[in-house]
Amino acid sequence: MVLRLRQPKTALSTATATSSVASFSRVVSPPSHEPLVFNDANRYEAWHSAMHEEIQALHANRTWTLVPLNPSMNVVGSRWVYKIKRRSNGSIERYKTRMVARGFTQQEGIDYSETFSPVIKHATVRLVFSIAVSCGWKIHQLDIHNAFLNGVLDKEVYMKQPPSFVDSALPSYVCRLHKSLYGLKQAPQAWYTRLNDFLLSIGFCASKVDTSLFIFSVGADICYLLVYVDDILLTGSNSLLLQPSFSY
Amino acid sequence: MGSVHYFLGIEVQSTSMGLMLRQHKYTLDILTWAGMLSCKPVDSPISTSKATILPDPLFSDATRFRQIVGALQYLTFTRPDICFAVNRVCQFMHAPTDSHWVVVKRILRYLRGTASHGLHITRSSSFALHGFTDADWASSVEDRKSTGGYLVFFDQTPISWKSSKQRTVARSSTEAEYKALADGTAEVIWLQYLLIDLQISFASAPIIWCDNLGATYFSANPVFHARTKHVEVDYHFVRDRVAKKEIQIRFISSRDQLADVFSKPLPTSSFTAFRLKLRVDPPPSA
Repeated sequence: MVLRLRQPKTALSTATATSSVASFSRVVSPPSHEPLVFNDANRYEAWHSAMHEEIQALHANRTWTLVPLNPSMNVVGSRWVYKIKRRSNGSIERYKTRMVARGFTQQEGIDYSETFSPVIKHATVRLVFSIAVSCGWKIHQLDIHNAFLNGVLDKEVYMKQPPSFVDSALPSYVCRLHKSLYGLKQAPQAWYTRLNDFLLSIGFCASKVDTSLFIFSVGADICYLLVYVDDILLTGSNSLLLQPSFSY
Repeated sequence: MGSVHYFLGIEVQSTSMGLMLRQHKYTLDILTWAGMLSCKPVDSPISTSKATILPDPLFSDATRFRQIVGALQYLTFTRPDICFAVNRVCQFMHAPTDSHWVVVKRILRYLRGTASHGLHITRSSSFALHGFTDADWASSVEDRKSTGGYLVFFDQTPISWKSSKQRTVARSSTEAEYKALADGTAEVIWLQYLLIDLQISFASAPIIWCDNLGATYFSANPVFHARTKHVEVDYHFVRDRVAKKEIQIRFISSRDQLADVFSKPLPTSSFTAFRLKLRVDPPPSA
């Protein structure tokens, strides 16, 4: 079974058009510490290509559209965050970059209202593990890539164009966000709402006493799904789990 | 999608008896961060000697104290054995002193020796809840508040536990025990609702074991009422659930009281025995 929550990646022509980073020769192997600022990172090929991938993924996800700046808008800034992902033996797995919104400049009531997002209670995790062990069920784990980018925004949020990826044709425009971005105040809540709606639409019921626990039952078969932000556990009587995929 | 082996920083490992949940890497990360990786291990997380109030200078780096204690809190996910000690140091987050830091270091030294230990989840033969509640009356030397704790098992596996300083001062040990009993009852009832949502049927009302005879009598009969008016809400709450046969309260001798380890520091020998019953085990030998 596959629970695909990531939007399929499609190459968009806009992605290449928006890049205004001048091409000059870059150093191939970056130092082992993580850069803090764009100029520091952009000198290295690994970070540069990682940023390009991230921008393309954001475009493919239709995260924003460019709109003219209006003085009444509260425009939040954006920045790059860099992280070296390592394997357990310390070797480098990949160079990860993330475009984040500077959510601390958002104004409550204008840019966001609700921010609460529930997470699973520890006792629930242990209880479900215990039930799974007793019933001999396999416990599966789902990885959701870029979970927060799936959240849909219900408020109008505007963001400056990402540093050094400013659209050359419309440099004075700002991004009107449609999907949430890491760093926004409402990002966890928007993601939880999206996932919750999706799970209910495919037949899961949310538990009344722990809202991050979802239950799916048909006849004698039952399946539990535990949500901890973007970490998801799935277990249940096997015949159900082996059913064909439901995709998003 | 794959079989779970690493979830929320918790390593999940199959054993012959079921599953083992461990935070080995996380523990080592905390020890490395605290510079305690090469410390001398101890056998229990907290000393049994009574703390005395002495003029105690504030710890120089309160932020570091809070970060490490905060990291330890998450470790209680798989380590009920350090729950009491971690809760104790959490009470001083606002103004940690040098002697509080010594208590933190003691926990880290204990973890150095038991970093690979984890919570063993074993196959249950019957789906039944049972809980233990205990209190240490007037244990806090500063304000004489009591410490209460509970532990709830799902058959053989501990699934929920808590240790906390009670919010009001209890005038008798029975009162402190009764408050702990009310907290434990609330948790057991929550877990019952959870089991209903999970569509797991359970045959009998959960039993809560309490080592204070007075508190057990209380839950069954409205005796000694005058002395306990101020615990009326807790009293009615537990009484009501017992009357509706949603839970049963039974007496257990202090020796077998598993929640003991959540309400007071224990000497190494009894601590180790309790830890075994909490299903906190070293990893199965390969």
